[in-house]
Amino acid sequence: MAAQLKAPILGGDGLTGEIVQWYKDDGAELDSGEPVFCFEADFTAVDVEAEEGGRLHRCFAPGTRARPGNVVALVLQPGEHVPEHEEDAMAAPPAPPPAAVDEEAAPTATVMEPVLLPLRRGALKTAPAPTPGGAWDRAFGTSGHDYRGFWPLRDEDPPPGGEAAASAPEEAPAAFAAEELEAFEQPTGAVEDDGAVDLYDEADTAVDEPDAFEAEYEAEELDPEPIVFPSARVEAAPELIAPEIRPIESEAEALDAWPDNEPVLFVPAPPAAVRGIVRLTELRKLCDQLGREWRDSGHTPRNEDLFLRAAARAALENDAVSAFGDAAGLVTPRPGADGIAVLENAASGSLRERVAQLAAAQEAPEQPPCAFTLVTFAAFGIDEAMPVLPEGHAFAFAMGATKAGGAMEDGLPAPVMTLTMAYSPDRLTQGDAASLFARVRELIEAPYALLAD
Amino acid sequence: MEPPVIKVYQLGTTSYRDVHRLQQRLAEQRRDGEGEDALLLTEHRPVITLGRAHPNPDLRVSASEVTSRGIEIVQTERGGDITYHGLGQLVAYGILRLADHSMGIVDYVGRLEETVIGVLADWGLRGERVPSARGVWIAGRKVASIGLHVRRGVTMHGVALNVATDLGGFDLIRPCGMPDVEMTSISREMGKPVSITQASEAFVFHFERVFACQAEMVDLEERRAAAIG
Repeated sequence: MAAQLKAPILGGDGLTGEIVQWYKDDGAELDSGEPVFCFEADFTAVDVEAEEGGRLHRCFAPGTRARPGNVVALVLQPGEHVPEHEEDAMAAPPAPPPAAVDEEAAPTATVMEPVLLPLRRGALKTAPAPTPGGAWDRAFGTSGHDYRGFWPLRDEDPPPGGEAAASAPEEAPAAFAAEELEAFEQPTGAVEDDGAVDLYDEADTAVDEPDAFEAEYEAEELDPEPIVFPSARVEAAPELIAPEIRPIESEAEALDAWPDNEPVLFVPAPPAAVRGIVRLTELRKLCDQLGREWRDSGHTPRNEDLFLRAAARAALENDAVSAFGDAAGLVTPRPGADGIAVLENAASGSLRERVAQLAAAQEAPEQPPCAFTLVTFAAFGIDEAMPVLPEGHAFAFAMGATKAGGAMEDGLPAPVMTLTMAYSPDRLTQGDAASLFARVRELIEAPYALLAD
Repeated sequence: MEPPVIKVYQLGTTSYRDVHRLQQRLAEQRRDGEGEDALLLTEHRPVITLGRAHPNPDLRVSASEVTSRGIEIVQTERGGDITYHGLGQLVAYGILRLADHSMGIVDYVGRLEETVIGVLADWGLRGERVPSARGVWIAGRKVASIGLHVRRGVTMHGVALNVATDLGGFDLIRPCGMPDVEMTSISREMGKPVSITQASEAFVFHFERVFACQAEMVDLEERRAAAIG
């Protein structure tokens, strides 16, 4: 039976890495104990060896990001072929592309009927799989950042490939279309040559000699932009999907979950979502600085204020979002909740004014036209929140943040939160949403830029 | 239960390639279930090393200027990006079989950082981790860099702590591939010279504490047997 070669388990939650190099060509004969590929994550390069001899069947190109435990290659015995269930999976159609954007309707779309459905933990629908090699990949896979802990919600949707893939054994790799597999297996200079520079040929002179060094450079130059498939194995790591995330199916259930029935309009459930882990160490320090900046407003800033500012900044910078016009929105938490969060009006910069209004009135001021709404749910002491949209306005995206429940570090709550974004594929493409989300995350993790203006 | 023993080699000033070969030899032994875990402490003559995933040196100057200064650029198998080693920098390479310490790789990296943070605390400096990158930082300035290689559960490479390093060496490169990173050293932060010998002793002390192990110093004869030039 074909042996699986997996990305090594490194021991860190949510850590993803990259297949840096294949030491052996696809189809090469392997001996037991031979290093097959190098996987790098967290400044650590790990060589993965063949546990048994056989013929190598590589599934991914160098540069592919993977999560520890993902199957990245098979070792086939003589006469053995790729197992049938994997062929089935490979033959399955690719994941459906996200819904096309109606560009004419998007900027002024008012077609979404308001329905009663709270946006809170549990209200997120699952995300369609990203299109391989598409905008998502360009946004995440080749940006050079470490998007550890990053994955789309996939806890409800069948895996790409439909029922055939869904019924595949749990350990089987996710479904790939045949053409996708071909794309991974296109011979390139790097793929053909990357076994040529082998650190293990000579135990005592393992440092590459200059000639080999240069040859590797040339091979790199021949290598096309790596095809990145970051989400292909999401279902292989179900433990990483927070169990409390579940969709609310009906209006009745929503009402039941929201017993107070405040008279507000709810937006439809977001049809797609992304989620990632964000560390907040620096954010705490920034609150002090922001406090000085906001001294006159009488408002004491918290982490969420910076979070909101990051979202506003990212929205302003995002071409797709800014195309909606005056990118402004408002967040109102559930009445009575401890705190009010507000979205900076990225176009006019009237955050302080809004803060002052909110601090004085403890309620939402008259809202300007807005094309997107930012939502916090369970963010930093606010257990539940709901978006309020003026009639005639539409939902484009929402963001939320939850603290890791109960996790402690050095006697303090762990400076980690889960950042979630839901978006309407009618208004944002998957790539636009991904780049927006990535920017928010980047700003939160390096928030000094938020004070630079 | 006795704490695991880790042999500590105080190698003095060395060339990078010599110690690299020693690392490989010791690591191969550990993979084969022979030998003992080891901690190699040294300071290298000036050299620039590249990580496995970043074979193109990210230099701020031309490669010819680097070589004209007698600084070699060496491709290695470790993780991470480009870095500079030079005199006054304490480099610690751990050759550990992680399973013997019930450690995962990420845990190991974290403990290396913790060890450095302990060393810095001995001088009253507050070392920090940052979420976006490995290593240890002092008020936003990077004082220690990490890059590791693991094969069959045995580690190689490790951490480089700037004690009294001539930081001008980092001006040749973009350390860790980060364009705006500012490097620092213990001496710079203290405003006075700090001996690498003292830092080395402190490192062993905190390594023992953080890794709950017993350090066994290797004497000169054993070092010679290890054939270090």
